[in-house]
Amino acid sequence: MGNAVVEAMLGSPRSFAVAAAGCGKTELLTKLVADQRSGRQLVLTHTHAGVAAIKKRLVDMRVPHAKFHLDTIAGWCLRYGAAYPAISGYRPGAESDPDWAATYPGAEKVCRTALGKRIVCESYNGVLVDEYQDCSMKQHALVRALADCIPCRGVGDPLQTIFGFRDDPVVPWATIKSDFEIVDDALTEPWRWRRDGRNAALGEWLVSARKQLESTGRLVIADDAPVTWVQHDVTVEAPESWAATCRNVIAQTNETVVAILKWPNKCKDLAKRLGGRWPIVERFDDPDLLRLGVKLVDADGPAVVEALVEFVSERMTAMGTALKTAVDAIKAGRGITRITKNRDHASRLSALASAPTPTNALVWLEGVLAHKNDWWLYRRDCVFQLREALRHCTADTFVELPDMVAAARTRARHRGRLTHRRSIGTPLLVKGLEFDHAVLHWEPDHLSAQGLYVALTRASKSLTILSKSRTLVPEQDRKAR
Amino acid sequence: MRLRRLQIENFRGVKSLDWKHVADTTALVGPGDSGKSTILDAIERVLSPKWNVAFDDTDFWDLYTDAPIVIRATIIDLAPTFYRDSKFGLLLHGFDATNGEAIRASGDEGEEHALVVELRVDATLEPVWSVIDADGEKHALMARDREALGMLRIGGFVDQHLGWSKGSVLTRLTNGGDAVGSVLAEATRQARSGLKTEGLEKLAAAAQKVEALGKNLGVAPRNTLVPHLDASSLSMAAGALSLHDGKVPVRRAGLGTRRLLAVAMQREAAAQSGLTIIDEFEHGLEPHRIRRLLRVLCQRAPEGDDMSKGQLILTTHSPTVLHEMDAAEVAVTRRAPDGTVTVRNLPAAVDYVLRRTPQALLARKVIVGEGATEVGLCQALDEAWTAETGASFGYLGVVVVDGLGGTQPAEVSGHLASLGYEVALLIDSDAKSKVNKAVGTQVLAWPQGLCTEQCLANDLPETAISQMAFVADERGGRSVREALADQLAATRASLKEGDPASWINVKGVEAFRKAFGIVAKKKNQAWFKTRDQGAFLGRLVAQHWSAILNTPTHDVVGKLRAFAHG
Repeated sequence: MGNAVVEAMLGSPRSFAVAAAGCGKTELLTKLVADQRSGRQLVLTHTHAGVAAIKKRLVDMRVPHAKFHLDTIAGWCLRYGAAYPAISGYRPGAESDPDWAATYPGAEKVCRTALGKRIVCESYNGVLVDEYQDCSMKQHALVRALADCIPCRGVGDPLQTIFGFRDDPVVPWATIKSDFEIVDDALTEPWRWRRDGRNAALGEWLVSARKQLESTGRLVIADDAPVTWVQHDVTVEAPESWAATCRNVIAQTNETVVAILKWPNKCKDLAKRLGGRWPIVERFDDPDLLRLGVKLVDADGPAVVEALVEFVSERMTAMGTALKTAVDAIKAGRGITRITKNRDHASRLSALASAPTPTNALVWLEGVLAHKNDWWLYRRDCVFQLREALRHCTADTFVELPDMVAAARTRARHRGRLTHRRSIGTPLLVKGLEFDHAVLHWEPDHLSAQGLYVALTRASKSLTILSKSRTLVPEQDRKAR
Repeated sequence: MRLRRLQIENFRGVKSLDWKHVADTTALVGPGDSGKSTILDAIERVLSPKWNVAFDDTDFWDLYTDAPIVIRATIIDLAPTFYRDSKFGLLLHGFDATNGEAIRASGDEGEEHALVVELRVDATLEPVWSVIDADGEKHALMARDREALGMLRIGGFVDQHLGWSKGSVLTRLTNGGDAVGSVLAEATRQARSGLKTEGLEKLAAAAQKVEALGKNLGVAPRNTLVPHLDASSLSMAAGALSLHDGKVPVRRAGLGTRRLLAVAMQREAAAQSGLTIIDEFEHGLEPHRIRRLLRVLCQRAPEGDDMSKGQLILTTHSPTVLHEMDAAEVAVTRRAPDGTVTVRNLPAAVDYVLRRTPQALLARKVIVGEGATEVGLCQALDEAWTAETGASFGYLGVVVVDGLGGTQPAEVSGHLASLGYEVALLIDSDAKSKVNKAVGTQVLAWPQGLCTEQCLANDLPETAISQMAFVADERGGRSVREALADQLAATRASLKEGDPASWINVKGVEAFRKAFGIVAKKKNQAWFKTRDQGAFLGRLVAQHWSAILNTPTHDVVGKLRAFAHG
């Protein structure tokens, strides 16, 4: 990366660098923080994974701790809002489930007071916001409040905007353009693909693909493109061939592979077809798990068994069917004496039904998870969070479970995602993650240009695209960019 | 940094204290054992830059260790770095100057911000410093941050600050204090290399002997055994380096000089924002040095003098110090028997007392006289009673204050009583309008609205009356004779000039007493309205004490004596 970008960014108190995927965005952030002139910087990003990634780079570059404070926007706002509730009008509720809608405006109110300005000015010489394209309107309003006190800089990529918020829409690119001085094409060198053992040609092709998408709104995969194109017509061919392609890719490598497709239900379908060996990248805030936690509090024994088995079997191959007889018997109030298949699991379920305690639930769950070969867990995160929550329950009832689930979820969020050798996910969920190989299943008009670009840029070694035609036409983004 | 409120629980002689509205300059006065020094100790400890301060069981109120010692300081005017969110930026309070309390911050422009610092010590004797936020949550307060508060106590022992020891003001003033260590190490090395061993034959002989003895047992030294300086016993602590005036250490200078130097260094080290607390401010200082130092410290320095900021809290027993203060800068401490200590600022009405009779504020008992006559009277009586009993007002802690007439004597005595002083009010008349403000005061008034001269003229024996007439003649001359003659309804010629003794006989002694009293009271005939003449009257009373038994004069003066000597 040339120092010209650093100079351009430091040259303005409202600069914004457009950074293509894998082109040294974190590197730029690190250089800006490390620069002698930038003083102490507040570095804000969206996810804990983002915090961890930037932190690692800053530590690797030996940037002194006094030069920065690194946090998620949400975490930082929570601190400021909670410190002065009389100003923010916001009091943190249960720590596990903060009211985010009130958090950002609350922190903004604090930062707009004389006191807040003074605190911000004394604390920082500037603020750097990572992944700016993912900022909501409320987050953007907060950043503007900060910009009244200290220089404010952003890095981001309009072509990677795919986060959505129901009641707090993403800040439009036009707004960013009018509020910042845009350093266009600041980062276009595909550094990630040029490292040893990566696919440099793929990197160059992605740069041209980006240009094509930006200028024409579509992507034509030329014959000589450094990607594997597999013709696949979803209307004609069986879904099984799709799974076969994935198996082919994994068979040729022992590196990480991700399969990307748009719809969560198709992800589940594919996971089942792949025998559960490919876990799905899941949301951290799956509402199903919270619902289960609440449901178990008041449920009687058989209801606990039914809800628990249902929840886990939705995330596991074959198990639900295998234990159906036992569950039916328990529901009907019959004994399980006559059941011989999977007897261990059935008797644990029976114990759970007669004494519905977290301990018994945990015994059954751990038994099921330890049982290999007959079934596979393909949606792991929630089940592991459930296991962790059950382990932390101390009472004889499920009364603590909702809180423990929330706490386990918060911890998981802080740990970040574990990358499995094989993964399945939607562009939204694999965004920010890096893999060696990717298989993209393209169905016409299913992905936006942003979704497509994110999907294309996940793998650094090989990219396989399944589509009906060599021309990919993304769904039109109805919001004017 | 400025201290605006101090709260103490269970510390030494203070069961509880809540001192609000601490001024930028405060002189604490009050009788011995009223908690002045404990208050300074408390401020020093809660804001101490030391990482640890030793406490023992005797630091607890009544040695009762079950209730923790809590010292809480509300401070404002915080250093900019304190506003960092990594420091205390998110723990600030607003400050309500009217009520003298920290409140929830509004964030508005012009708002004053406060930090609440607490030191808590429980039975484990482990001091814990914390900052308390608006929700009552506690956050650790490091010694490093307390150091930034810039608190310095100038006690009786200031020598530590005149050397480069750890935490001394001199070290703080030194850029790169680490240099001290290397200087001392080098000095130690030079001392070793500078030692001449040639002259040490006797020691060397002993060393040789040891070497021979060792060889016998198989101990072979690598070189030869010789006497030399041992580096370990030479090693010098940082305090070994100190300020010298030529070859003489400054710690050998007079106490006043050392204290002044320490104060000057503290002002410099704390730059703009220090809090200086000083025990016995006047200790070792001549009056002109007291004045200069106060001017510098109390922000009354000439303009452009940058040593003019910061806060000063001192204790004093010196009228000279008080004389330099405004009423708002003087605070009186009192301790109730249950250990509740109060600190009250002087009301503005008492300001003139500070100007004219500052020692009154250092007294235990105060007699407020109606005017100069009464003050003189009391002084003469004090002389007489001292001769008789050996106990003077000074010994008894009694001070007489001139009330300056009108309603002022009552007002002042009421204020003084509310500050905790025992007050007697000696006035002409106990008419409601004159004494209703003298709440909490023992009112000593002549009966029936008589003035002092009238009452004395009524009660003193004849010889004393002629002495009074003599003084009147001397001071008033012809106008006195004419006024008296008119009052007696006698011819003006009948009062012969230069023979006041004969005046008494013109219409009989009782008529003369009455007429003399009335004339003496008249504005244009104020023969006795000075302190000297009052003293003259007082001497008469003392002289004729046994002759005036059962008179109103005996009654009032007797009560006055009981108040002073009781």
